[in-house]
Amino acid sequence: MKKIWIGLALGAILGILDGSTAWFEPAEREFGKMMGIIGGSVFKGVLTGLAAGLFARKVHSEMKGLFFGLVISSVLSWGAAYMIWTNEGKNYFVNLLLPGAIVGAIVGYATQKLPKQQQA
Amino acid sequence: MSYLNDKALDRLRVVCDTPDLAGTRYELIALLGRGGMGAVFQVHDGQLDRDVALKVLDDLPAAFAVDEARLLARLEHPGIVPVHDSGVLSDGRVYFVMKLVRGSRLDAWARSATLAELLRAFEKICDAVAFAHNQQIVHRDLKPSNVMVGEFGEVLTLDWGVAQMDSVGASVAAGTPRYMAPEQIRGEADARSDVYSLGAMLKDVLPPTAPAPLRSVCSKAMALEPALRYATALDFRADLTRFLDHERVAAHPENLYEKSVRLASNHRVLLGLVLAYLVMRTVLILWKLR
Repeated sequence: MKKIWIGLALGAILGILDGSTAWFEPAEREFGKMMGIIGGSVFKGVLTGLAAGLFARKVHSEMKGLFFGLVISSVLSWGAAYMIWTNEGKNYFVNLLLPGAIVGAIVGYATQKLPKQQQA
Repeated sequence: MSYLNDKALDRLRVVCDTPDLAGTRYELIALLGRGGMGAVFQVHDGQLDRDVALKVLDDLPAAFAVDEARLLARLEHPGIVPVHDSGVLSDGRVYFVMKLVRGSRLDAWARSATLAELLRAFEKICDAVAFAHNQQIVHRDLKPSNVMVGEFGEVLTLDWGVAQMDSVGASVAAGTPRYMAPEQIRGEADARSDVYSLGAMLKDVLPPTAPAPLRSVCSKAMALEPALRYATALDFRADLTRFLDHERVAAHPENLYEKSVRLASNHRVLLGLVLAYLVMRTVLILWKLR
């Protein structure tokens, strides 16, 4: 259960940080837009964290965790970019997919690594 | 009057050293080596049909043979060469029969080993020595030539011939000066004297480019004052394990730079991912702002 909570917390925190980087783009700086971006990013991060936590309970490998997080987050980011593209006609594939994949990799890896194993 | 030449003297020495195994179940095969305490031979055990090592002790009085054999027989540990048998030769010299270890001496093996492999081997040596200390037995002659690394990576500590009960203490200085603690030279060996020897051994086999924390571990183990050394062989081992796990070793007060390097090394994958993210995000923001 600990792994799942760690995954969820990491996903949420990194989701907030990742979404907040939209502030650096003047076109997205409006409060409502920012909340939408951060909310979506947190949702994506939490889902990735949950999946990474469940994966970490079954598989104990930092590298496998990293790739699992990367794949899950890439799929979710692609889904989010596809929805924006379909609904608003804006292309966010590169902007969402590349950083999102790395955030997922961080969540997957860190969920495997944390908490530090105590030596017997 | 004629004198014996060197060759003849050497031949005479070999003949004198060669044990007369008549009356035992062992058949001499070859001389494996000679040390300060005696010589070790490869012999064949006719009864069990296997080759074993037979050590003949030069100066140990036969009266002590039984006590010594019993003492060594207590050391049943995967890292300690087991004693199978003991007895007294027709010339009065005491012998011990032990497992024949096939492999390399620690110092020879260390030349081709990586630092991590070397430290893992030392962890095993510490385990064996700590076990002996737990049995109240002090080795008193730990040195690289008394540790063998087997063909399958097993690490065996041998030559417990000068080992002694801790409670008895050492009345005479025994061991190899280069690896002996100062108090051992004065004839006052205890478990911390073995810790000193472990430190001296590690210092001896470490490459010249060994990191500073490892040199500090050796220095702490080799402190002239026993109270300033690691209290036990397991404490010494714990610091080696901490080094291998990229943790701070107790013997080394690290500065900010060393701490940063250690933490970066410990979390290099995470650090790489975070850097990749920052670079990626910065490039994307700049690309949008162009």
